[in-house]
Amino acid sequence: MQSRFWHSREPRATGGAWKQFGHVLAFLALGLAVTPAHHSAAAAGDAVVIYGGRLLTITHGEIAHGSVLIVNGKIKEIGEKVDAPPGAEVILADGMVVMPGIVDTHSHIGVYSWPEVEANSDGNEMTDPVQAGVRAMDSVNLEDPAIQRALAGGVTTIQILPGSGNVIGGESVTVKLRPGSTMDEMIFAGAPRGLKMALGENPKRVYGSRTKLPSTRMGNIYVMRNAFQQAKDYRAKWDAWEKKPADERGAPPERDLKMETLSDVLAGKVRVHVHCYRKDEIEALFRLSDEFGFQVASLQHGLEAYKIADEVSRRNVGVATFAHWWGYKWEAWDGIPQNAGILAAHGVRVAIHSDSPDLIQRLYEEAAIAMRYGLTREDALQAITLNPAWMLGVDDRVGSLDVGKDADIAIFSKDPFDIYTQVEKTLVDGKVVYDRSKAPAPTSAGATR
Amino acid sequence: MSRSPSNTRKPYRLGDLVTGALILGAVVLGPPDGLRGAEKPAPAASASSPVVAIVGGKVFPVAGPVIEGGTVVIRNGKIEAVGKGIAVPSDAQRIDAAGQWVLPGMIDSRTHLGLWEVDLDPVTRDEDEDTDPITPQMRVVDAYYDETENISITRQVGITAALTTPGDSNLINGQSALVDLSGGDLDQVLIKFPVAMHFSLGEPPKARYGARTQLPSTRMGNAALIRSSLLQARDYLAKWDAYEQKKLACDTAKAGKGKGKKNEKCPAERPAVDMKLAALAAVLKGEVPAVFRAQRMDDILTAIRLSEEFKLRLILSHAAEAYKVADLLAKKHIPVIVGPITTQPDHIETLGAIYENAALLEDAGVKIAIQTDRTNDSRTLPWEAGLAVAYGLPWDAALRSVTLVPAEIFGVADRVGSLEAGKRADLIVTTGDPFQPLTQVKHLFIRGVERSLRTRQDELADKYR
Repeated sequence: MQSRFWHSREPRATGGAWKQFGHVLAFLALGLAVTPAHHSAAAAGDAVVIYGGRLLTITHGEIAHGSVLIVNGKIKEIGEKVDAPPGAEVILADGMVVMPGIVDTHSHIGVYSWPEVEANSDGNEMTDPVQAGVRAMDSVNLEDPAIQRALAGGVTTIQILPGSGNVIGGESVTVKLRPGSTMDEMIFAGAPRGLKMALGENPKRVYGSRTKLPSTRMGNIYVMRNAFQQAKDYRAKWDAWEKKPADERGAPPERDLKMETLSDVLAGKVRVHVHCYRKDEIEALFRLSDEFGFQVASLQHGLEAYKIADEVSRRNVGVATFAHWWGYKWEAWDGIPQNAGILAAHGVRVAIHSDSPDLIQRLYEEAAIAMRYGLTREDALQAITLNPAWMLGVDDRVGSLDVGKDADIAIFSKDPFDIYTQVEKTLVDGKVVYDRSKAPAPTSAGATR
Repeated sequence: MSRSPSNTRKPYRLGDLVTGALILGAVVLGPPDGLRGAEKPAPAASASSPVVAIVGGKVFPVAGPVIEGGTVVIRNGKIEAVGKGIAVPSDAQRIDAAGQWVLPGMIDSRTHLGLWEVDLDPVTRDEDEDTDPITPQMRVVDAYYDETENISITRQVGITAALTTPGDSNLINGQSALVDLSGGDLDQVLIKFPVAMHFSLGEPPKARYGARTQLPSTRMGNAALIRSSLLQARDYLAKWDAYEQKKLACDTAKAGKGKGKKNEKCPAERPAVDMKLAALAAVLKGEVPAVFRAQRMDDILTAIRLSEEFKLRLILSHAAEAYKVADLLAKKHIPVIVGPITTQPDHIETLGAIYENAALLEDAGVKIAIQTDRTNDSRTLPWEAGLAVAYGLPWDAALRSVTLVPAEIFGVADRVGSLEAGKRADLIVTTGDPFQPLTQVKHLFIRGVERSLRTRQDELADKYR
């Protein structure tokens, strides 16, 4: 099967090689020692130069033909020319498009690992609608094959969330996609904690079908209010105990992991990400957050957020949504592909999320579809980079090509919004973690997993 | 969508189907009179079907080479002429397509349009008769809801026709229909019925019935139950053939009455009609092709084995691992409806799924069409095709796989699938490559009538923008 099909890739490989050779010469002419590009990890202290691509910086426009200098896994320099140290590893990106690694606020990779069998179903602890005490981190299958596929889609940072079967699903974990590592190595160090909550049909279906609370939307909100009220009381009890002189304290109140997490939410230490669809439930959520004084970091899905765009904007709540999914349940009936564009036009920070190990591989295409329905190009780029990073509280570290940020980078063969584009390389902290030229070629003789 | 007054809904006269011959000819094949009409040329929409000339666009006839600055003339719902330098008829409404592309409307080779409204609400879904693993008698035309919101949303991206199929969790699921997406009544939109009988192999049937401790719970159970159903149908067919012969003999003897002695076996005794077996008989006779849903290579081979045993006209669908037997499929001339291209290695039976499936099949010489297998979001068809191109499918082949090839596979290439004089005027005018998400559809014609590109979603957007 080395016939026409594979030939179709050749123009890029051979034609590009000559151009690339020319740039190597140009580089040498600058008096720089250039080592051949290879995908081995750059050790600490190593320098990497991505040379000659069209740079989409996200924060300060495009550089038609520029370079990125990476030192110690951070972006040291970016511009039409960079001052590369001798011995820097060179990644030639001539004719390619270089942008920050894609960030997804909504993934269940690892907690619903491939293949979808009961044995791999670890994302919903559906034994009680309030599960603030569980942590997605403890369910992640680090060998989920979807991780590699996400990297092949240029994704570098994801938030892994518990599912939406519970009203309060548990703590999320924000990770960088460093394949083949431990959870400790995957965790995005310094990223804020997150809590997944859910409104609407899912929790009421799960518990309603067991004739248990909640079976209605008012039941959902009641469960939330009750939980936060308990957390308030719990915190008050602990505060009172801690305020007492040591010899008068007596035994401490009982520890409750659910209440610990929820009181941390009330103390502003945990970001809240809420699965929701309908306008009315978003409004109910806002009433609740006002009542208990916490900020909602993001609406997840938020398919009807466009109906109250000004209110969402006023509250500085992000919306992570699908580009075009709709209608798969009644609460998604008024979901429209214009959602992202309308919200952005009203000043809301919008992300395109995946909620799917399939979509996560093509979030750039999803963003292009959102553009089809009115999102501007600038907002579409931000919707898969800086805005999701902002929702996760890591926008000071990732989401744009800026000096000082982590060198999490995706290199595309064409513009990311061109349907025919492919990710050539993905870098996390300056290390190449995906290289398409080294991916096994599929043949008709067998699978290539 | 305007409906011309002459096209009022006709009741389907099931009562007309009384004789044995008609049972085999019509129940099997499905269309009572009201539906059979759709096999005839499409209902003329002359009152609302002006003469149109689309001028100056880049025309992709699909059946022939691309025409830069070409003209397409539409009259009486059909394409009258396609070419360069064609005179614009004096009575024609002129559409300037300079800088734009003119292509046949796309065809999605598997959806549940009209049968399915809200995925998670069974009340709104009628594609899957979840009560028996063998339901060949189910006909999608009997559940088709023409006011579904999904049609306008699908049409908006340039899809003008879709196969609407029964589900895939029974072993034999029923009979599909090809409909155009004008949104009219069934008797107006039906392009062909029945298009195919839909069989399923692999996980869905064994998962469903195994959970009920009912046959099938294994792949060998899948094959055994399909085989025994087809054997029953073969016997049924033989019984009816014998009856027909005997009846003919009796009628002949009756015509010569008075001469010779009375035939004791006359009149011939008509066998009882069995709707299931009658439906399968049409498949055995080759009147209706058999679409087999199969993902894993061994399931694909089972489909081939069964089809050869019973001489079925096999079409494969889904077929995640078809690339592993591409040469065999090419040699046997078995067409494959691949897709969605985004099929993932997320189920045990799709662990071998790769994006290059379509490209590898096409390269081996297999005739391929692309299906979304979606309903709420079947608008993804052009982007599915684009993804197949990104993974090696030549662009021209991708265009054929969503236009002319499905028309050929479904036996309607004489009417749809390309821009040729005499075919239905089902076509689109776009701002460019229809597979690019940023390309917009500017005009869409079905049966020569320009159709609305507005959706309920646009109304909502305008209300809240």
